[in-house]
Amino acid sequence: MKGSIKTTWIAALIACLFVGYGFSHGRVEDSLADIKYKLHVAAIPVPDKLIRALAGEFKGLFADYLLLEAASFNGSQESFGASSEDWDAVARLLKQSNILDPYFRSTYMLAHTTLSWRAQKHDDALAILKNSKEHLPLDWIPGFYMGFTHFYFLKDNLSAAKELMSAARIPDSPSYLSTMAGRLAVESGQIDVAIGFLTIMYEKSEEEENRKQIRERIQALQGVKILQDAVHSFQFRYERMPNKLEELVSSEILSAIPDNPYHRPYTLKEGKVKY
Amino acid sequence: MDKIWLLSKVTYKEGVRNRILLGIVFIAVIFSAFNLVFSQMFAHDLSKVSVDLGLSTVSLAGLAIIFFMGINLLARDFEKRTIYMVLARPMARWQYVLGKYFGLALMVGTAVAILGIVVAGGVKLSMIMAPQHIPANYSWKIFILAICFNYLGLMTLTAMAQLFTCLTNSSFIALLVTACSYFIGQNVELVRKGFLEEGDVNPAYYHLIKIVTWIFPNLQAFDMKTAAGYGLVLEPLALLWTAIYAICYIGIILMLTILVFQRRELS
Repeated sequence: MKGSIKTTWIAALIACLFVGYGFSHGRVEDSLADIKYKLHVAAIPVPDKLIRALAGEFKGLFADYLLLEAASFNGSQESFGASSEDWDAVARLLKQSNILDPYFRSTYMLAHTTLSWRAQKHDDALAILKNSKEHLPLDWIPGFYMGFTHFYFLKDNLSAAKELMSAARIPDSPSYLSTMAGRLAVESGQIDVAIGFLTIMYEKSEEEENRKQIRERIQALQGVKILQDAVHSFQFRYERMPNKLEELVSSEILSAIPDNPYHRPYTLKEGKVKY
Repeated sequence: MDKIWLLSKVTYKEGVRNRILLGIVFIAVIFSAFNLVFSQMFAHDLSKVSVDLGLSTVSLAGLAIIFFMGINLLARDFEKRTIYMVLARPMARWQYVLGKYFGLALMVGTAVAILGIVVAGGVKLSMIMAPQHIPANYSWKIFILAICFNYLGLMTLTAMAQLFTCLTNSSFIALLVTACSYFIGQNVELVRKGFLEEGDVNPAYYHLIKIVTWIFPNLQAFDMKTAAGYGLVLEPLALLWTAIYAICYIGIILMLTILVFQRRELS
């Protein structure tokens, strides 16, 4: 009798433990689902030097973990209603990951897609991309992303052109980078810069098709340069903009309109010559 | 030399009897299996993540062996007074110090070798699963070098642990002081770069940091995980100097330990 009571008590205790475990397990999962809380805990604003000191010889592993935290938040439902503070935390996580391992490509890629596109934190994204670019001199992608951010988000064509030019000089970078950089330099009024840059690229290029494309672009830009200078002369002489490029010939500033290697006429829009 | 070798073997066998190697193999297998899952969580640089976790496992396990087993093995002779039995035999004190050190070196070396092989297997598997993420310059030679230099770093720490055990007689205090030395050693380079190269520091502080950088080993020099992960080129001359640095530092610490132990009153 005594033995059976003891067995009953033990069975009841085990049953209680299992029930308690079952309930608490669900609660624990619920609390962990709040990724925002986790994010705030993980993204402690630790000074750069201190975080390197704390990570010791496990910098790479810490960088992986911090990136995973930021990526988890970025991919979660919570990120759609994220506040500015949440994105600050994500930026901090990515910055810390970048400090610990500046060679880690995943960090700058996530920084570009998350901080630039989703959080509109362009300065943070550019800082991470710049650090990666300095540590990965043979990787053209950080420079390309920087150029893209300057052009698309910050509307700064000159900085975009400079970044793309720098990316285009990296071996094995795609050939379209140089023509994109040239176009952006022209957009920002830096035609001489664009011609100079493309001339260097032309001299360095070995592929015939690539050389042909760059040669055409240089010819087009030289035409733009002649026409733009003529527009300025016209403006100086008549104190107004020409309505058409043909006016440059009729006013005898130019003897003829230069040939456009793309077989279409040059155009004049708001005082700027386009090819 | 025979006596040193004999004591080394005894120390090694004592360590093996602790079944610590079995535990190490178990940890290595668990971490290698985890490595396959962990690296797949990333969209890029999967191989780098895998190497990071693999080499960190080797480092962590090596540190655990030194802190939780090595220091105990060294201090046990003092705490349980078994040192009298050893020294009652025709064995000089310097032979005891070297015998113990080489025994521990053998023990840690075996553990690191086992870990290295299992971890390399895990890394290889994750590379097979995601071949497109293997860095262009990845080299197993650098991976092996990273393990070898990690071992050198662990040996430096073991020498320090032995010195502190001889100085304090207590495994707990020796563990604390060794842990502090490890932390300082990991950050000596960072402090030197961060403060001394900026130039704008208090002269007293400048000299203090300078002294610290000479006293504590630069353990960061033995960390080649990043180079292994990305296949970064390592300068042979720099590697040679790092190895010479470690051997010289270990030699000096062992000499210091012998000096302390010779003057030690064991009654």
